[in-house]
Amino acid sequence: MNFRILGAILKKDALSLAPIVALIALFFLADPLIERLDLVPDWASYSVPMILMALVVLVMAVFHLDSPASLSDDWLCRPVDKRELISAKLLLVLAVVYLPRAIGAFIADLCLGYSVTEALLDAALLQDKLTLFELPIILFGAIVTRTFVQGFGVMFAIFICVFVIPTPFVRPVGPLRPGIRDELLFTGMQWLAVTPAKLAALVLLAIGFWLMYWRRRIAAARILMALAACVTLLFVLIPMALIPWNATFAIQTAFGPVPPADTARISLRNPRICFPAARRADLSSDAAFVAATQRSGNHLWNSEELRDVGPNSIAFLTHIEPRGLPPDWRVKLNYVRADYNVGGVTLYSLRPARYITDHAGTGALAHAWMLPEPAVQRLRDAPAELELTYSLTLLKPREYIVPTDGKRHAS
Amino acid sequence: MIVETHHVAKRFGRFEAIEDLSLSVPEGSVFALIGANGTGKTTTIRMLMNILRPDRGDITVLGTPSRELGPADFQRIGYVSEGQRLPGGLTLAQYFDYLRALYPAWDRVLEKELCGQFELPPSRKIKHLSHGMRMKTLLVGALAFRPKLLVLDEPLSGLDTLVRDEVVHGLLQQAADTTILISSHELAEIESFTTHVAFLQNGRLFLQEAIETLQTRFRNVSVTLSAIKELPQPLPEGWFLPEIEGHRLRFVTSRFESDQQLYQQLVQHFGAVQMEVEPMPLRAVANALMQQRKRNLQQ
Repeated sequence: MNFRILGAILKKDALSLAPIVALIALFFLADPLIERLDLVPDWASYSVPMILMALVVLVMAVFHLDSPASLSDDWLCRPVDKRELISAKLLLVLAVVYLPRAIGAFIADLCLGYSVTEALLDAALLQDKLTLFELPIILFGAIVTRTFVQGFGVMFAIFICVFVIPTPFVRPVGPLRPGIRDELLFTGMQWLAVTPAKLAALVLLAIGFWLMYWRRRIAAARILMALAACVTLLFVLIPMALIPWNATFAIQTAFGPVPPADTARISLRNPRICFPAARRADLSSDAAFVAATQRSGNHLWNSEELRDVGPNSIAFLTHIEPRGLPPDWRVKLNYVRADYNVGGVTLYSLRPARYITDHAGTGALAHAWMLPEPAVQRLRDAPAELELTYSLTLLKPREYIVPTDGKRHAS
Repeated sequence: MIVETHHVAKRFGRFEAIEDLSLSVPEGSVFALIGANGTGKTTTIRMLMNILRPDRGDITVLGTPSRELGPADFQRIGYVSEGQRLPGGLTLAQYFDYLRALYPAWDRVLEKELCGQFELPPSRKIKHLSHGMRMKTLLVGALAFRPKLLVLDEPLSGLDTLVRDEVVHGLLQQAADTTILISSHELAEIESFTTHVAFLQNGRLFLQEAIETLQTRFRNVSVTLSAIKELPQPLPEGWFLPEIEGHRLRFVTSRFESDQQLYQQLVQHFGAVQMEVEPMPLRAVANALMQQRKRNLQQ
């Protein structure tokens, strides 16, 4: 690697794009300051699309300066090593995206009262939620196009293909599909959903760079970009839909801390002898379900779900309470599943409708379930057992003293 | 040979852009690739520079297969193209600073000399330069490291006469040390310093030759016949584009040796004649060859 040439390319790009680079760096500096110091109400809802737009503009501008898809760019016949060219461009993008963010986070943390060490550590850590997701696809879009209009068109096309076209075909998840779904994102296991997607996107991007810069196979790289967008999306959706909870939770447990010994005495209790149940056709008149609907504030199932399960399907309500919780401890529900077993074999697994589970952790674990009509028919004469599986996180209290002076504080 | 191609072909979809192209550029020559717009000159040069890859055939540039041309090779190759995209946000001084880092053999004195000669303003941004200024900038960027091979794709296109003269003058100063491959349809301007020419039409090369021999053997012939006569059939070898009107015969010969030899040939076919023989400039030779080729294709 010739660092003199790398530096020359970096300097050339920075000087060529000085106004854009300065503006975007300023935005990435301001973002953590605004967010952490709460300078603009509801900033997070504006910042996500703005970050995305800033990333697209920056990456397109930097890579289109010496486009590998071009037939007329100056660099094509200059003695520029491709590794140096790519490194210089990536360095500039990362310097504009991460360096100002780190500085912004550091300043914000100091303002919030963190120590310098804590603030430095927080700033140095990659505070990334979406960037590593978006960046490979944006980079892909930038290297397979020649102009900003083309690049923006590709990004817009991907947005339409991913978010707009599938919308009419998306159906609510049926009761007999107990994949993990959103629970993966809200139970500290988000990394399991996003890591394969990020890795796949990065690997495909590396192949894309090789195709564009070393082989000059533009058509192949464009096809690969479409594939990378699909694979990234699938790798996010597939774990949520297909990975069994037990296996997923086992992975998380293996990487997580060992639970404290005093949790052994905590148990779950069913305070009722039997669960309230009703035929789907009688739901509107059943007192227990009417009360549950009123408590949840919404219909337990939407009309589409009810139409699909059949009129003779059976709905039931469960209510489980944790016992033996030490004072001030809380439980947070990660996941729940109902299995119908016959002779030790699981015939059906159900996912619940969200009901009145209290995510604040006061203890109520109440769910509404629906056993579809075909399952009811099959289980009618079988000696079936209902097994409820709960996965919970125990939240142990920690003591903090925060001044009540109306200002934000670090802890 | 400093550049060689063997049976090169390139297709864009169904369009055959280049067909069976075999080209040899001798070291030290100024080699002109000539053809009308859309005949494949730019495609050929892009394949030589590894910007495009040929579908068939082999290309070697400075002894290296074109597909393997790398930074070390490009340190010896200067390239200027009419539509070359430059970093518009840089000033000329910043652009040359950038280029200086890429070429170990960059000659700063020559750079300054050329900038002075072309009157390039170092503090002006590239995006604010006129087309002529941009071409001069590219030329400085391609000459200041004293390349072994200079490849110019339509460098004179769109330039006014004054700027053309300046660019040609700049090129002439380098011609002694560098092999120049130039594609152009501005034949009058390049004729003065070209040593070899190759004619392309519809993606096919139909002639490549040293300009000296080309200028020696091509003549525009105008003959006054003693009586109205018909053209001999078949035409004598090397005669083409014949036109006969009453006592007047005009044609182009590509086999001119001497006035005497031509006069005897004419006497043999037409009896007593009066003839005028004119040497042909490159533009006239190119036009004649292309017209003849078009006629042959139509037949």
